[in-house]
Amino acid sequence: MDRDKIAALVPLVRDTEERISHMLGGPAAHAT
Amino acid sequence: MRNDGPPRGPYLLGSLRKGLKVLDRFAHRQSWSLAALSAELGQSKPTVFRILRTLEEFGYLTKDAATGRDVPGLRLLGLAGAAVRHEQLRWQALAPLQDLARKTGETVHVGVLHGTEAVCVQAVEDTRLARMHAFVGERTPAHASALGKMLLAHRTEAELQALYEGRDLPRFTPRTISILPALEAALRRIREQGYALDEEEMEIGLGCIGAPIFDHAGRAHG
Repeated sequence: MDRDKIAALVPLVRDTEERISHMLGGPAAHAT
Repeated sequence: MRNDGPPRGPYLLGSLRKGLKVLDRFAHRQSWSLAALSAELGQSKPTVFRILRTLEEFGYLTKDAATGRDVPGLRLLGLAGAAVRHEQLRWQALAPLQDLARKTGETVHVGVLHGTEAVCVQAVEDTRLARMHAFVGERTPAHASALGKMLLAHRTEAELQALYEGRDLPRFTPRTISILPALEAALRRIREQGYALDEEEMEIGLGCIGAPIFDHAGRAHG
């Protein structure tokens, strides 16, 4: 996977994981 | 014989452990001949034969009429259903994963750590012909996947030692992390940057990005 693709995908992945964390009652991922 | 970290402990039943290791192989490949399974596990054919017959008797395995090989039986369906029903993450994750798959055109999945393996509990595959496959129940060695490394990165040093001390880190490609100190260094980087990458560490040509899902206790759950 090239760096541009990683840079484009990381925010989308993290946003998704934060949404799911929030649904599970957890803190935002970037808070740790 | 594979080294995928069998549980160790003083109270384990040897015969049950052998039986479960046989059953476990069916999560990785759907059908097995006696000879192939015996070779895979490093167990004698008579031993594996008796285990297969027992599992068939109780409906956990059945014979494929066309090939004569053993395949998973319907009894497993009930167990699998019970295992995933209690996993809240599986259902909470579905809609966000579908959104992510739509936006990226990539296969996306979430999973949990079970021993030294990452277990997929929900997956949405992209629709291209040449795509990464992911399915519920799929297990991958945690040290060689983005999901697994992400989860390991949020375990304590003592937990990591308990998981890996004295165990090999199997190498799947030249890029697989295969020694514990290197894995620990990689996990520190992952904690700092907030996401994990698998750059052809499990399979050449495959890459993956993993980010943590935290539960109500603040623990990286998936």
